[in-house]
Amino acid sequence: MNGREPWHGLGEVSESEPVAAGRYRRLVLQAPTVARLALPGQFVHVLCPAGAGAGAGLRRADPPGRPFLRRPFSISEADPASGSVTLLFRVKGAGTASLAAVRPGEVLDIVGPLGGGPFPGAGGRPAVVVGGGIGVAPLPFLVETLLGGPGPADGPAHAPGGSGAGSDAGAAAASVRVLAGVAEGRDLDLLEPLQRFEGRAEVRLATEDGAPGTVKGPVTALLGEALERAGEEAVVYACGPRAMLAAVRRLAVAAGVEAWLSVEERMACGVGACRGCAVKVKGDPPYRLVCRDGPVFQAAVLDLEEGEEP
Amino acid sequence: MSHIASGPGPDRAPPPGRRAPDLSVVVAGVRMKNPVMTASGTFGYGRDYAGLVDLRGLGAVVVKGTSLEPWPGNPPPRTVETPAGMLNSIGLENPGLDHLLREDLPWLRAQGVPVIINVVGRTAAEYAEMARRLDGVPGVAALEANISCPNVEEGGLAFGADPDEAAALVEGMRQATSLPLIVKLTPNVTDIAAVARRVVEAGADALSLINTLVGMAIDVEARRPVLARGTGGLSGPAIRPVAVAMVYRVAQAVEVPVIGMGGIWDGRDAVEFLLAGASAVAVGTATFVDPGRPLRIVEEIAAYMSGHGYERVEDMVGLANPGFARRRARRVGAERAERRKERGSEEIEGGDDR
Repeated sequence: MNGREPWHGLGEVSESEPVAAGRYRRLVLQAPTVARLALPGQFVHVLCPAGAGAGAGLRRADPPGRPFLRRPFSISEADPASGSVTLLFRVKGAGTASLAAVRPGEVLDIVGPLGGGPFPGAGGRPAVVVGGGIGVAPLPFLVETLLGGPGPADGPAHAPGGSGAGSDAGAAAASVRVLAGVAEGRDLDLLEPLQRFEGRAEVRLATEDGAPGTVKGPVTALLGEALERAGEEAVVYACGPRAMLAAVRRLAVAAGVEAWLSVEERMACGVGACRGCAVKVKGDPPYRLVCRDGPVFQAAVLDLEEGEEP
Repeated sequence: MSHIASGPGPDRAPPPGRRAPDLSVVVAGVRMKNPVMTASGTFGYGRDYAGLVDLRGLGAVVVKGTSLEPWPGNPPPRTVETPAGMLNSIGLENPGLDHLLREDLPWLRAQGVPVIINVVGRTAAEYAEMARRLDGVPGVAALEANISCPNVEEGGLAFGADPDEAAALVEGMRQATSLPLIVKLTPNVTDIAAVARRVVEAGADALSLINTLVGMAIDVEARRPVLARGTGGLSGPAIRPVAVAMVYRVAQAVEVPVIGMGGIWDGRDAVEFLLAGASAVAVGTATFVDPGRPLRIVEEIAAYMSGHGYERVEDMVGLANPGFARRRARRVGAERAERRKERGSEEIEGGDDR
């Protein structure tokens, strides 16, 4: 209706590479319409091929009748010029194992971009971007946009207020600080797409096991200092485990700055029809949908109680 | 691309001189261009799929269960994938009747497809009030009473599992509206035919079946049910054989049309329901996986009809169900007798055996 309806079709896989010894995977899809429409924070819904070597070498063959539903994946990078969309995901179950087995030249059935609430623009303010674990997936696209890099020419209004990053001249940030962490140093490869912004942005890494070149501890341990230096005008963006998001919110509230959190929930349709991916929010109605209203929400509206500190 | 084997078998062109099959059906007075509807709760109010599904290609859109006031739904997690299907515990989250009338219905009316409103309530009186308020509203082709949702404390399954309560509820709605009244039945009963007979006696013009089966998945690491509410409703191809058997049984038990649903993935599956005795079908969970499914199923039904020489959908209805076919033959006989009586014949004919 408004020219921004999601696209449904086949995208050819042009690259597939293991990340961190195959515990994660990076896939590049050729999907020009998705690449053109995508906003940071949005996702694609991917049909997992059954049986295509899924689970090979893991434990056993596919469980019967699975994977059944599509799997939502954050758009990690989108390049309208080449028409490519990059996904970065953890190889965890039957669905992601089957996707990891797809080879360049094969096609995937995808719907996207989806997500009525992308990351909003920074409006010229200093940005602090926080990612934990596989939650770093959507951040390269966000950081690129905050740095004024290639992005879509237009965008929809963000559902809960503000406008999507890349939606106007105000998308870019005055400065960008990236804080990214993984639990174990052996997964540091996951942060490589963010390390590439070194020079254009300040990038700091954390690992729980104190791997060389990183700060030992949770990534949120770096946030207090970053917020201090970014100043009261700062806007925080975060994606990661619930406990990390809860910590980000607490620190942002304490610093009195705006924060936007990308959350996930089990999802069936991805377009708002099934009402499956509800997250609890403050206010009435008490739930909002990750696919239709998010996946990015203003920290102040989210009710993260169940996910507070582990 | 589809990961579940599909296809109605080899397409055969109609023999020379045979016309393309006529897919149109009339169910409970609702005229549809084909027998493929959306299942309530799987298509929102249609708008969510705008751009992904051409609504004009559908037989009818059945909207999400709607109540007098907005309902918030259940706490998350609300869904989980299961083998060849999924569990849901949405809890009938919906924006309420006023929102439907103000926002959704005007948009749906403009799409050029019959719209059926799925109705939910906490009490029989609320169902009747919904029927009263929707009576005569332009753009509403029929109502579908949802007395079969397993995910709410009040209403839903609580009505559909008790033949007396179900009948009383349907009677109340029947008195409140002249719209065609479809009643959606639950499979979570000992004898679905007994409930079916009672709601038809109470005034149902058609029956939809089946709603989801009660199920549970447990997270073995967290050692608790995955869904926040514990149980949910199972849908998807996993439940199809159960649904086919229940349609087969109910089609024998009642005189009104049956709308068959439960795990339909492709045209072949839809034909199974038609042969079991369904006059139309609804597609639900398959749409989540592939929004292209409903319209592809329409094409595949047409291909099956062409391949097997059926000119009209009703020519196939119940062909695999001898009990249904015998009953239909008696009904057709009774209708003819009725017509002769109307023409003034003195002849007394045997009537309906109901």
